[in-house]
Amino acid sequence: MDQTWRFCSIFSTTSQENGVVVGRNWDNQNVGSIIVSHYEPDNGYASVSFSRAIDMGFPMNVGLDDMAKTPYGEKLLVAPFYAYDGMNEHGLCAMVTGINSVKVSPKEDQESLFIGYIVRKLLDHSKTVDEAIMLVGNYIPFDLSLTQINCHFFVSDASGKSVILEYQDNEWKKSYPTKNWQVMTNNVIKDVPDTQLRKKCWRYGTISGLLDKTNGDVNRNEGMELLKNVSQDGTTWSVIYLPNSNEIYFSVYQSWDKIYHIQDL
Amino acid sequence: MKRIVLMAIATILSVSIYAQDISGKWNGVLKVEGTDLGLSINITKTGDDLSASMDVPKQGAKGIPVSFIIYENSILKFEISDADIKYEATLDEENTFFGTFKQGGQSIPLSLTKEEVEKDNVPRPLEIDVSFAKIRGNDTDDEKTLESIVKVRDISEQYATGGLYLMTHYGNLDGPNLALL
Repeated sequence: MDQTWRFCSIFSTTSQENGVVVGRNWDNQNVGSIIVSHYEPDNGYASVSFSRAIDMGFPMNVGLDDMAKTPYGEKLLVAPFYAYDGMNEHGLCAMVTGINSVKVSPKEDQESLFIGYIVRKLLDHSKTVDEAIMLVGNYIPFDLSLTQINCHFFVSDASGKSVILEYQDNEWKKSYPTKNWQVMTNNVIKDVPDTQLRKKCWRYGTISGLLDKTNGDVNRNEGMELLKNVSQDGTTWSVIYLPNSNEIYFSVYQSWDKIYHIQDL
Repeated sequence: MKRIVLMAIATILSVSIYAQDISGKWNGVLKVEGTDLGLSINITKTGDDLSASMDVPKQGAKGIPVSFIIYENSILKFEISDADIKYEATLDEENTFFGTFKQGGQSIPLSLTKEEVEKDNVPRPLEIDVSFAKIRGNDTDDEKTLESIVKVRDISEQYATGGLYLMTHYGNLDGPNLALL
């Protein structure tokens, strides 16, 4: 990988104790403040999502509570649109991880959307993986500029179904799991054998190896332990989504002994 | 005199352990690549012969036959040849086997006791309930509202100064207005 800081890890599986368990490490560097947004649009589903203050233009060393009282604080209104992962009230989870840059060709008759905005659309308007696939078909994703994207998408729902969505050759490609769990790190998944993915990325191999051993039966606590095992210096937040109970457990900056719990989205 | 007494106690303990019937269920936790795998060995004694089977509940494995087992002089050895598993351990005074579990070239310490091991052996961290201020105020004219912003904690300067914030938004926000940023 030429973007070595893009180190995120994601998995989805089904456990006996907690039903569907979705885990995600956001790994990066110097992200400053972390914003966890609860958003209830009038025309969509309620959701909780994670964003970074620097993406909204905030320097790393400012307190957002103070900024909210100033005109500058209006930027906080867009926090839900810089969502890199989240879960809605129906248990639909949507998230991204970085990959090497892929060229994108904007089209006049199709809307181009920033990756965080696509995650927002998915959370606002999808209940299931199938609905999510239909929805992304309306959009061309972009990241650093309108002509490139540096990430792929992971979507899962409360039934345990999941899919990895990658935009290649100017169309959305879908990869479904071959087992009852699915893993995504930072290598393109489409048409790449699982054995090769395990060799390419030790985090992919570690997560897959454990899910193999347990036949995917990893409860929320073990899921967080798994995220700890694949965490790195840049791990900024680690979150376990439980779509069947509408709960979220997360830690920030590798504080594994202190887990925050959100319930009742 | 004191040394003789200690030797006598040691001899009694040794005989006691040697004579112990080890039949029953022995439980342990195998730490494999960062995860805890609970397992049980069920030992049966028929006359002078021992037989056993192994359960690994997390892997859905029950009654895996042990192909060889022997217990002599407080040392337990067993093998599961189909899975290339070997275990050798010594029983201590507190009725715990301390030994090594070998499989596929890996050697992992494994203790077995008659105490039930809890299913979930990952230590539970401190869990802190956080909630959003979900009380909706008056909508503004353009329906954009940031109802609350709560700072949960400061983040260490080891990484970057800043904090963890919980925010509640209502209404139909417009999405990123790039001109704003």
